[in-house]
Amino acid sequence: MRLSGVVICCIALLLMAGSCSGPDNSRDGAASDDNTPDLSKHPIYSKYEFSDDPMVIDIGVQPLWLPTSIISEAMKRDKILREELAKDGYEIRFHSFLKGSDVNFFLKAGLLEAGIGGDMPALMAAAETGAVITTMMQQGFVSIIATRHMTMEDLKGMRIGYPFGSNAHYALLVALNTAGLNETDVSLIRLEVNEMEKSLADGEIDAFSAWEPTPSVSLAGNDNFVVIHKSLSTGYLYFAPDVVRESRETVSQIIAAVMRVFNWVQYHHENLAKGCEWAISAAEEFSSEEFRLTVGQVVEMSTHDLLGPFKGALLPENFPDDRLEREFKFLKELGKMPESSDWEGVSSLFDRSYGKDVLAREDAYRLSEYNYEF
Amino acid sequence: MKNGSFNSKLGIRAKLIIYFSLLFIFIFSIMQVVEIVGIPGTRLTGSIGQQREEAFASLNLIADLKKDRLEDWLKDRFNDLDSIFNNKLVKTNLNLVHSDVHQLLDAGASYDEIWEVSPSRENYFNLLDFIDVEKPSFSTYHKVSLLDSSEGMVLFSTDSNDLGLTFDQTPGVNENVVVGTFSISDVMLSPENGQPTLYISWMIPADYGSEHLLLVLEVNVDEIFAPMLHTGEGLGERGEALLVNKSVEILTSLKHKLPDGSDAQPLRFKINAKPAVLAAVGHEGIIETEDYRGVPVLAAYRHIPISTETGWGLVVKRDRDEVFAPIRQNIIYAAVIGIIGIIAAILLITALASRITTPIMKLSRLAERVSGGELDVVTEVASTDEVGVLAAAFNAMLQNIRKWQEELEAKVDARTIELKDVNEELLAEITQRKLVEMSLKESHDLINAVIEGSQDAIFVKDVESRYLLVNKAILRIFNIKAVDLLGKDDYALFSPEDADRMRADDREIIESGKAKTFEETTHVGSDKITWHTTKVPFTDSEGNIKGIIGISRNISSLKAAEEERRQLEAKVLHAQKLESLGVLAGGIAHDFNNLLVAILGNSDIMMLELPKTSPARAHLKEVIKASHRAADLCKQMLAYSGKGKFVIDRIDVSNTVREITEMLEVSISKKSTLKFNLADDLPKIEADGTQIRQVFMNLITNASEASDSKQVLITVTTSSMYCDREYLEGMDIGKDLPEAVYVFVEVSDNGSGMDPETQRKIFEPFFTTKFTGRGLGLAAVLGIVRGHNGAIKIYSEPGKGTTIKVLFPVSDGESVESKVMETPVTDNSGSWRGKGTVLLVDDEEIIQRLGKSMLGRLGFDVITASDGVSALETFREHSDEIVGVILDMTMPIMDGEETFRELRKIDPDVKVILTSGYHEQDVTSRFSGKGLSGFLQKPYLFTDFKDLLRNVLGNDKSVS
Repeated sequence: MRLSGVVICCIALLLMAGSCSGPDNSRDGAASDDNTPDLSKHPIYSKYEFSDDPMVIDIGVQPLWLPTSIISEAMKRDKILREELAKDGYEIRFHSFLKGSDVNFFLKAGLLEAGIGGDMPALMAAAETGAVITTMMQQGFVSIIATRHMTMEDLKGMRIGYPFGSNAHYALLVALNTAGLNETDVSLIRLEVNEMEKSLADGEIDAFSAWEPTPSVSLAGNDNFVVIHKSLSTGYLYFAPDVVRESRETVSQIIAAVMRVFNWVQYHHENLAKGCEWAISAAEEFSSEEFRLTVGQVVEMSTHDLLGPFKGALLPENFPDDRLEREFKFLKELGKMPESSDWEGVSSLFDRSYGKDVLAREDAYRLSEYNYEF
Repeated sequence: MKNGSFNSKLGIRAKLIIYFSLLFIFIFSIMQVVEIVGIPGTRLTGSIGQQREEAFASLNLIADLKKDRLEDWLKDRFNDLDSIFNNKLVKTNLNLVHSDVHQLLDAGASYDEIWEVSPSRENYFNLLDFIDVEKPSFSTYHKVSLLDSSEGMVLFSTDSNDLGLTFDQTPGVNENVVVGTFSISDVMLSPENGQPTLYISWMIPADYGSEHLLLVLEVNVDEIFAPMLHTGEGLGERGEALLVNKSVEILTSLKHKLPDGSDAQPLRFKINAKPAVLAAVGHEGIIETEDYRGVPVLAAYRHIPISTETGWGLVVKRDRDEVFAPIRQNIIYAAVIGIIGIIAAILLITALASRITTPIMKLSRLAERVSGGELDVVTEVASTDEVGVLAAAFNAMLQNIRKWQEELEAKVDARTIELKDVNEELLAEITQRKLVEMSLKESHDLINAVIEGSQDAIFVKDVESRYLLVNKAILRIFNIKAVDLLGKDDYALFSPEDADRMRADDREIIESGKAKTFEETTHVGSDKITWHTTKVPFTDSEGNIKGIIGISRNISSLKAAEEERRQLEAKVLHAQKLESLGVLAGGIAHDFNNLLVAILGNSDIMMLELPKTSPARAHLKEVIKASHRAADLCKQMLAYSGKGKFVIDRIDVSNTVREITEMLEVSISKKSTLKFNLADDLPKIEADGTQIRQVFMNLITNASEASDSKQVLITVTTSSMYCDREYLEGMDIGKDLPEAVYVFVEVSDNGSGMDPETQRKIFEPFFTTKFTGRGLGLAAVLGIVRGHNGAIKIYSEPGKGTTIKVLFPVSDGESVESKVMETPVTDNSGSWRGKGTVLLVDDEEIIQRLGKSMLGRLGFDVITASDGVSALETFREHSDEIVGVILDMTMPIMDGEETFRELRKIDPDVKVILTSGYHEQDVTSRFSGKGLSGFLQKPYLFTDFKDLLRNVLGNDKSVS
């Protein structure tokens, strides 16, 4: 064999060796599937009983979303809320969901009257159902976790887990975009937030995008996991248009309950710790897994995302801001918003007046009274 | 071959050295590359990847630490505010300051007085003392102020100059802060010192009144944050941490100068580098990019929310060169070691190769001697290894070579003799072949000259109709190059339709194997070319048809000439036909006239003889009436033949039309409407008025019958025009007339029109499209117009109508006298009777009998003759008794004209009355000045006959 032949064989062997140990892109293809699945037969949600009674407010919450779930768990235990709603003959029921797009599915179906979700679900709810966004629930970060330090450009060709239709989905798309990548440059793999850590640890994916507490839990449990990207993200409480139209007072009472929780957790450190315990219990119950963050870690997270520079509950002035507008337009460009929707219409559904009215009558709405079931 | 010669020059030793050296270099290079950059697509990242990852990890750590530090610092500020308001001393004194100011205001003090007094009051000092005591905690703040929210004024400040300032004059103070909450403004330039300043405020309820107090803390950002950002390890010499606001403006001074050499000023310089932009809008991560200097860096960026509305971006970065500097050093070390290793390896390989190749070289040198002719050498077999075996084999090979050489020499001698004979035969054959080639070339040149010299298109095609050969004539005709045509078919030259037809011809010839000569027309652009083509199949030596040879001659001009000749012949034939028809009509009219003479004459006599009460008179009148109509037909026929009666005069055509207007309107069809456009002052024409009227009557009558069903509008137009050659050429009749001014009459109708075939025939006698027509109207028009040297043009379209335009030449202006012989005034009164003998010459026996009867009734004796010769004999015999001669114009043997001349020779005073069915003008013009006494137009009535005889013979001896 000539020398040139030897050289070519060596190179070929080296390349084969390289390709054998490279990422396997064949499993899920390059592009994601944007079709919203039919959740009516979901193993968890199919067991829920939604009320047909117009005097019952069904609200969708996310126990696996911290620290927002502290607020929803406290609201579940808020006797004042129940009392005030009962005065007008209303009742409130809470239903747990894995992510915001799941909440929207049932909101769209008319089975929920209100929901809690991040940027992308809130915008989609407004665009698809005309939901009115009244309250800001938190301001935190959505993170992309990988097993080594790398830039977003380095993700090209890799397998990335994401929860479809969620804040983390949007954050991933934006992060890819900042690196000049799009969905076809990577292999997007739909996963629920509680599947992310294991998939990454088992090498089934190369990275995942998720909101808190999944990143913190994963980092705490895996020494080799690192955060490679974070995006600022906010959470909202939004109501179906029928509820807003028919019962402003009921909406105001629910908003007052949110504000009451904020006041309560700020009133004393122990209140916050209690709220964190409730949130951890709810997460464990919903996922049937042990929660791997301590109360102290959740308190620290909450201090930052709920009680730091974030004022809580009241939508800021001049809101929605250009960040949300960019987000809406970006999602529209990607075809993830209804074709007929426009920013003017969606932005008009952010209504600060409810929060302002409640604050103006804080005594009437009993914002400084606390009566939670322990 | 190049490679072969290269290989042959390199020895085994050299090759071993080169190959193994290259292999070592390759393996070493691969190892180095893998070591440095890793293997793409695997987790093997190499030292660069590791270094990069470590650098990012380090930057992440530093960025997180600095972010935590900044956030902790912010938390501390809130704690400061909290501690201030939870301090009873401060709270009490703040409220006292507040109430003092308001009490002074309520007492009527002016603001100036208040600010003079206020700082000297106890509670004010208490506050200042507190701040002074707590100075370590408040050293962060550039200034601490207290504002009255209702008045919007500064009530207390560590800078007394601020007392009395309002919200408007204190930047960064948010009067809309919710009670009990704190607020952070974004960093802005202080109007006081131009430094980037952060304002933190807290709204609390006041004890005095219902107002609120606003405590404002001011922080000089650059002073506070710059040390936080620039201290710490892990960023190397050129690494840097920087802070930007939401608009990506820097909040603290930068470590490096800008590319233009200037220093960036806080809040005055905006960074466009990607990490700063991403951090400002809420992203965190790591990136490899260029920084604000354009230098490649590795960076970690963080977002620090400072309120719901805004946040800052933190960027921690290191220059890429600095990060990878250790790697470069390692690469140099590795390269030096590698080169040393390679040199050592090459030396080792060289020694090893020498041991292997020395015995081989010995054999090689021996082989060179053998190749030089030394076949008797023998090599020493010194070992039993591969080289020893090779040496033994070499010796055996030499022995065999010697044996083969001897056998070979013998064979070569024998073959040399054979080759010599073959060479001689070959030479002869070559000479013969050259002669044949020369002959072939001459033939080829001759054929080529014939083909290329031909003006006809000559071509050769293969069985697929592709051109194999074309001559210059084709190339010239189609203006194409041979290279563009050869190998292509007729579709390259002709239209698809022509090419299809040619292809079919070719197929027919190839399949039949027979030549074909034919004419064909092709289209080249808008031109048509007619070819006379002969195509012949040609075959190969075995008789297989291989294609077609064709010759085509362009006969377009020949065909055009032939067509022109054919059209000319048709015209001549048409003219001859009309001429013959004219002669025929004239002849028929002549004979009819003779018959009518007998009918009319006898009828007239019978009318004279029958009693007035006889019932036969009515029937006789009908016979006479019918005879007159027959006579009219004869006139028409004569007019067509150009032999009608002419009385030439100067005529105004418009007036002539007006004269017959009344008659026209009653005689044409009721469905017709007449419209006249008659020109005044038309030039006169020289014409027979009666015939011209007949022309108009015939044209208009014809037009009125142009449609059976609908109303017909007939327009009669008269005018004059100058007709040039081109215009006259377009006439249907009279193309040869000279260019001149002509008067024209145009008769148009909107009837059913005529097709071209009908137009061609309408002037033919007896051609008619009408059931009752006789087909002589337009024939007569033709004869009359011809007789007047005029022209006719017909415009007609089926369904649209017909226009017939008749041109007459304008008179030259001289007075025209009637050229017909003047007829003396006759006296019809009384019953005139002659006497003497009249010689009646006519070849028609029936005329002779009638003439005798009429002359006898008038008192004359009659001698008859049936031709000119017998008439002359009779005249000679009875010249003394003959008083006059009635002479027919047309007779056999000797016609009337010659007989007249002979009679005049016999008796110059003889009175001769000429009779003829032809018109008077025609006859009398020939006898003008020759002493003709009278003319009698056939057919004639007895009274006409009598009147003429009385005029000619009445005053003479013949009259009784």
